[in-house]
Amino acid sequence: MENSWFQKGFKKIEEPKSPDSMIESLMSDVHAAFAVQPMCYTAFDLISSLAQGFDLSGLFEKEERSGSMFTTKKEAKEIVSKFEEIATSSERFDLKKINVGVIKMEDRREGRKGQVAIEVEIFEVTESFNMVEFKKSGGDTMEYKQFCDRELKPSSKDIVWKWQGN
Amino acid sequence: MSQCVDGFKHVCNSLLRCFDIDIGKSSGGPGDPELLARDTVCNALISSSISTPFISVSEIEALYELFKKISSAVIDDGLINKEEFQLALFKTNKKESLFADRVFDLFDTKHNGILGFEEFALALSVFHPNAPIDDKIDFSFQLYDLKQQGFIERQEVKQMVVATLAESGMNLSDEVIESIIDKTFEEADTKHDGRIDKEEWRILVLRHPSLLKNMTLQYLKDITTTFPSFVFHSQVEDT
Repeated sequence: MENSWFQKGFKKIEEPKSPDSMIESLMSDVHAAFAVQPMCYTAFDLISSLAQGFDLSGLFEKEERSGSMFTTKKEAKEIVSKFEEIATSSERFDLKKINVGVIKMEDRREGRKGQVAIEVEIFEVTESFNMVEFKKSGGDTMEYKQFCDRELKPSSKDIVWKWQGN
Repeated sequence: MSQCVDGFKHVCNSLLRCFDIDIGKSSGGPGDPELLARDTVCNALISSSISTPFISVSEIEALYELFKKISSAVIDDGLINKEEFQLALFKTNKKESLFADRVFDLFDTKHNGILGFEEFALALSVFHPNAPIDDKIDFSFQLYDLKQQGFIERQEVKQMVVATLAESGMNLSDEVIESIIDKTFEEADTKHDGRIDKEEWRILVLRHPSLLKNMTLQYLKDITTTFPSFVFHSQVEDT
C-alpha cells in the first residue's frame, strides 16, 4: 500500500460508523429540526380536536374509538425524544423527520401491506401545552393498531396528559 | 342547472317507488310517518339539489336506515330527540355537552326540539365529502356562534375553550386560557373589533383547513357499505 502505484487515485475508506454514533447524529439532526417551533394551535383547533360533541363520526361508529391524539405538558423536543425512544426500543421502527413538527416512524420490516408507517404531528397551543396527533400513513391497519395498542400507547404514558376522548 | 333538478327528481321518484315496494311495517295510508318522511325529504332535497346533487337513491336509503336506528333508541317514534342524539354520539346518554347541544340545535331547523328525517338528512348532507366548502364554512361558523348574533365574540370562544377543557378533564389557568384566545384573535380578528365575523372566519379557515376537519364525514361516502341491508330492498338501479 505504501507503493505510490497503489496510492494513485486511492481514497481511504472511512470506517463505518458504529450504531451508537449513528443514533447520536440522528438525534442531533432531529433535535436541530425541532429547534423551530411546531405549528400553532388556535383556540378553534383546540375545540375542534377535543370537543367530542363536535365530532359526528360517533354517529357511525359502533364502539368507542381508541384515541390517536393526546395533550401533553411536555415541550416539543421531549415529545420527539420519547418517540425516538419508542422507535429504538421497538427494534423495528426508524424515525424520520418530514416537516417542522412532523415526524414519521417507519417499520423496517415489510408487513402484510408494505411497511407500517406512522406520522406524528405536534401542535403547540402554548409553550407548556402541546397536542400530539398520530395516524397511520402506510401499511396494514391491523398491524398499525397492534403496534399502537401494545407499544406506542403504553410507552408514551409518561408524556401524556390526557388522551382525546377520555 | 335544470339537468341537475331533473336528474334529482328522477332519483326521488325512484326512491318513492322503492319505498312503496318495501311496505314492511308501514300501513301505507295518508299521514303515515314513513311516507311523509320520505316525501318531505324528497321535496327538500329537490329544492336544495342545486347545491347538493350528490345523493343517490341508495345513499338516501342508507341514511334512512341510520336515522331509524338512532331514532328508535329511546322512544320508537320516528324522531330523534336530544337524548337519542347524545346516545348515538357518545354511546351514553349521561354525557352533557355544550357542543352536542349546539350541533343538535343547528340540525333542528324547525326549532321544536326533535329531528325529523328531513332535518337529519339535510344537515348531514353538509358533512358529505363532496358538499361545497362554503356550506361547511357557514355551518362551522354557526356552530361557534353560540348566541347566534352573526359574529363570534371573544367571550363565546372563552366559554367554549373552558367547556372543552372541562369535558376532557384538563384544567389550565385563566392566564393561559386568555393567552390562547389572545393569540387566536390576533390572527383571526383582522378588523380588531373584538369579534370574528363571517368574512374573518372564512379567511381563517382557508388558512387553517384543518379547522374544518369535523365538517367532513368520510362515512357518508361509504354509507351504503355500512348499511348494506338496503341493497336488497332496492328494486331500482342507481342512475
